[in-house]
Amino acid sequence: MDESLLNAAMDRYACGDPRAFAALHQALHPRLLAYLTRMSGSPVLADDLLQETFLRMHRARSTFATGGAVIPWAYAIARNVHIDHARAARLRATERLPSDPGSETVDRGGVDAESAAIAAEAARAVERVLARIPASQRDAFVLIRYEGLSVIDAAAILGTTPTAVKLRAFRAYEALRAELEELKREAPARARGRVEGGADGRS
Amino acid sequence: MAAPDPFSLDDFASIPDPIGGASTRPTPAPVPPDGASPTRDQRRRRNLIAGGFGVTWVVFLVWRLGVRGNIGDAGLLASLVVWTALTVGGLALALRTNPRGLPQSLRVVQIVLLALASVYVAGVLVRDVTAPNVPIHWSNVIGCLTWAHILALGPLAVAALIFRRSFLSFPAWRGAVVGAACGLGGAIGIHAHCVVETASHVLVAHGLVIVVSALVGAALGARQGRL
Repeated sequence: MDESLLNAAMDRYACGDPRAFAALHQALHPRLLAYLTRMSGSPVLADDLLQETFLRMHRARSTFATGGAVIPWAYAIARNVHIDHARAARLRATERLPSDPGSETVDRGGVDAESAAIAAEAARAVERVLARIPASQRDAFVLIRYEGLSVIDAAAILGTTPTAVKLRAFRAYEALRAELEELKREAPARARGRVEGGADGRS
Repeated sequence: MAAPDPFSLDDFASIPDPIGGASTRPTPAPVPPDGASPTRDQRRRRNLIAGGFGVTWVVFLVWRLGVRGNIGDAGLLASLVVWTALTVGGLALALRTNPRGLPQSLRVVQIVLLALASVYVAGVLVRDVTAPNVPIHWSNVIGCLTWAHILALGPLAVAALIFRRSFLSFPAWRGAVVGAACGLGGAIGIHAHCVVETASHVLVAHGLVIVVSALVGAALGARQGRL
């Protein structure tokens, strides 16, 4: 849906039109779900956080500025929901962990499976780095790289300046790039190990 | 030729998305959330009533306490007008949204907070040039200090109601600005009543409420201000 139409729908919703919710839900659900999954590391938890996000949007609809942009506004609320959840989780002495590296079933039979395994490994490396770097850098990077927001919108969501957001995102990018290059350097050795392991298994 | 940007975001796309498939899941049917939620017009009306109550609270109490005799003095009036304009303008600046409807950056909020405190102190020090130097004493301070806090209490209570769950980011800082503005309301109110002009008295007995209210605002903001 075109962003201006979406903003108009949110304007109508803020003025009390309940029918506008369907359009908002349709457009925002996939984006916010992906964002919350990235932030929380769990699709199941992301579903719960998304329900809470829509509830908060409903309660706060009257605070939506006339002529404002609903996408960054919704992201800001989703981020707050995640922060509140993370704080409560910290109180319960639990913390986010990267995905279990052995949880995926990989078909080791062909070339496609080989590249799929490499892609999965890269994805896990990205998750690991995102879980390790400071939250401010992770927020900036995720909003710009994965959610496709502009630096200005990301800065407004994070309550800081565009320069600061750019710098934080770049720091995250550097950490991710370093990890992926490390992974690339280790890949041939790991592939050799897999081949040798396979040969041993057959003999 | 422009120098290359050392923090270019162009290569970000080379970083793979760890959950590439999450956004392709089917979207469930929309279920509008239950529960009462004010519309924009209802909120506007509520804010107007609440703001009116806050101002009326201060004006009524100052009227009951009695307005000081020299309220017509040009210098005094100028101080009161500048502080009032600062309170309203600072609050408006800190809470207004950008063209995309998102809140001001933390830097703006911090500058407003600093301006509220420093312009108040500057106003007091400028006025004190001609005032006699009366030593500060607890018995002279407690009355004004108490009334200043009572004056600030009304706007603060109203602000806690209006701004509950309404700050998208940095709720403690934004709460502090709102609290400081309410405290400044109390300081202006007590200054319109009390004739003592000594800087030490005005700063402590009239001005301490700004700091206390800012701290209360920050605590309330952190606790229940986040949207």
